[in-house]
Amino acid sequence: MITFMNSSDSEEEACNERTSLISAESPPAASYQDGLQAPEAAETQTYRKRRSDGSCSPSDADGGNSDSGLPVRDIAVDNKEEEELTLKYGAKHVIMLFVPVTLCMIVVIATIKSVRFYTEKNGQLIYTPFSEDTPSVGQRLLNSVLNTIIMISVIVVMTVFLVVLYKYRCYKFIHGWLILSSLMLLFLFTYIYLGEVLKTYNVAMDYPTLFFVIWNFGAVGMICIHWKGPLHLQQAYLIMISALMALVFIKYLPEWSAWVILGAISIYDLIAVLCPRGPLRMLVETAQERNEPIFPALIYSSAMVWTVGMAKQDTASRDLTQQTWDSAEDVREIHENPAYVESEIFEARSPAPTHPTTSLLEELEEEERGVKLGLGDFIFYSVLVGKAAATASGDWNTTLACFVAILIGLCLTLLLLAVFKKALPALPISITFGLVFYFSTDNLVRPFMDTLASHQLYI
Amino acid sequence: PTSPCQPWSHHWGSGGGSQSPASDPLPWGARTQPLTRFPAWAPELSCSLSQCAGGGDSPAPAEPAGGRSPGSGSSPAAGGGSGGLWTGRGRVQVWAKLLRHDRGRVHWVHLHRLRAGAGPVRRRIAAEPLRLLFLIAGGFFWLVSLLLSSLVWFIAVQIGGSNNASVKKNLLIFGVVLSVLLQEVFRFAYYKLLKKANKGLMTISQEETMPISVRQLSYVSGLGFGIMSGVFSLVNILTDSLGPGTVGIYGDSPQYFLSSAFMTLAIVLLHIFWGIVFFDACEKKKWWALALVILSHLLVSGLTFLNPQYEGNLVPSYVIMMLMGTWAFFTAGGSLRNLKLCLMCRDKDFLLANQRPR
Repeated sequence: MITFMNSSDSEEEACNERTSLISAESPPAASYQDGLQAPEAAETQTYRKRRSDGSCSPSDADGGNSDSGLPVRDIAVDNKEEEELTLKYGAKHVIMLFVPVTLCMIVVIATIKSVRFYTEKNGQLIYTPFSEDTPSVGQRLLNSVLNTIIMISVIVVMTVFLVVLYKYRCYKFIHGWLILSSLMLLFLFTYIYLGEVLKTYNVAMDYPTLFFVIWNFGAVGMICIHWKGPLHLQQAYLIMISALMALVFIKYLPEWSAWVILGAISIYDLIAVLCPRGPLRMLVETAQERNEPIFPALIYSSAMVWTVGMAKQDTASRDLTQQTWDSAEDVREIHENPAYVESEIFEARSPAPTHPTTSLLEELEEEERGVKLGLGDFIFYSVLVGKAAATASGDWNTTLACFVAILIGLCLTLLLLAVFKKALPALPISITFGLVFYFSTDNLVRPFMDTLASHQLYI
Repeated sequence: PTSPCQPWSHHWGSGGGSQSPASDPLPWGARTQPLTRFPAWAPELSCSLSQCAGGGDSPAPAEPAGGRSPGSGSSPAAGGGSGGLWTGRGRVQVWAKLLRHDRGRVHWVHLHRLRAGAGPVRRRIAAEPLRLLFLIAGGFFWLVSLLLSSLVWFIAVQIGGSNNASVKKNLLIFGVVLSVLLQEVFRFAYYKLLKKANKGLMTISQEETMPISVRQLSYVSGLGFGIMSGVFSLVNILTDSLGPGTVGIYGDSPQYFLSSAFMTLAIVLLHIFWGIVFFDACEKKKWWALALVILSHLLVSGLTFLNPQYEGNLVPSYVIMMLMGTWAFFTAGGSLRNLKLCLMCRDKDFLLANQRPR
């Protein structure tokens, strides 16, 4: 689900949402929402995001948000134009999501292709206890299905636990959990990854240098992700931890289980986000009621800096739009030994008819908040493509086909988001396309292309 | 299963490899143009600017057309609005539109960095993501066509039995022909889809011009098809070239890599040209041109059956490519005069649309 979150002051004063990097106010105009919002609203929201996102730009000319009266816009005539403009924004937002997803996949594919460690079988996670080394196909299938059931139930339990914690306002627990998991990812997994890469390229590194590098990498990462930091640096760190998590999955999930888990997680995603009693939907609605963003460290936000400032801003209208927001967020957390968190992209519904038209900026810059995509989506996309790169005998053709399929699925998801204007899970369409293309390319296209290549034929 | 001809082709090497065709968005402010005054065709903008309710900075370098009465600003702004964000003229349309949105208030769009010229940036950035999207979607359509043709070929091979070499060759010919035909069918389907999408965008925006012209669409779709086709043909060969040097060990030609590279280049360019001619033929209902495109595609694929006799394959393919190239050039509106102007950097339209920042 693509989300634009609305930020408010959380309980922690030291690092509240206003200063945290990701969570800024959710703009009322999501990129794909048509008919109900004005581009000015988009710019209003982006401006507000800009304002509250102090980390993004040092030159915060935040000063003059004067409160002027809220103009009640006449949106009837302007809907079409707004729709065109939001669609235009939409294409940009799609590309803004394509880039990080592509980068994450490239990192995973490059690692899989070069570092042997991540394709070697070295045991399994405790969440997939059944081994797949059985001679019969039926037994193997059964084992993978059982593994999937266990994994999905762990995910469900974790999500429900998270929702319960959130409902009872145990923010400190949640934040501690998140900090612990990102500590694990940034230090332990990076250490292992770096070690394997150095081994692969036969580069010697002494411990002091290693400690220095890992310490700096991890410390800056923690600061960027949980506190403030330049936007691109934070995006880079989020991509890297998603890639690391995906590599762990690729390594430790047995083959058939991985595919079945991918399929099952898409279905679970669909259920959890769209069903009225789904845990993720409840989580998002709770967050919406409280006007808080959820777990800013788990969402990748792609912000753009626009160069148009609107003339007037209405803070009163901002409050109005906040009430009408309806953002849904899908966050799942799996607490393995390395705790990892995944979340879905989520989207805030555009505000109702009355929304501000313009925002006054005294500074000359306005930032349009792009879409937000949950890290879990990154992770599972990369798992799919990485598995395709690791195990497909059709090799690069299969990998590329899966890559294109996932991108197109993401594009379709964003399009659906524009149509339905509610929280949508990001996994199902992309994973379905990816799975279909993986199996069909590996089994159908590969022999065809091989035969063609052996005779040097071109089609 | 390794084919006897090239056992090395299945030794997919490790490491290296090509990158997937990632797309990078335009870096912010990469192409900024100076916008010193609003052109005459954006009267509403200058009109609204003159109505700015004070506050803030001066209206940047835009010189408001003086003498306009500060009215609501909506009525003069409501009209016009020709072009759009997408066309070359739509440099400031977005602001005009934004101004139109608010009917009852005076607005003033402050154009930041106007000195640096943000207008064309906005136009370009608005156009580029859409083009990029259509590029990737074009690649996806080619992929689907390949999938279907592989499916049919696979079924045919399973049915037809795999012992007879001539049967296999016939099935391969059948597969190639089917694949070419399916590619063209999917190109047509993509054309229909793009037209529908464009029409949708047009009705939404209530403007006469499309957000992206058919010519750009044809180019982009041809490029998408070409990129996917080229990548699928070449990437595995590239990976093998990193492997052990056993090319030709079973009697293959030592120019295998070179000829593959040249052929892939020809195919990619040909897809672009075919796309341009195809879309134009569909627009103007020139069915003979359509048939010619399909025939030339079949011809080029058929010529590859002459490999490893590369002279018989590459030379005619390149000749066909040149011919298609000139045909596409003239179809896309080029002419000798345009070419001359462009080469001598005197094409005013082009220069106007691509001013460098001062």
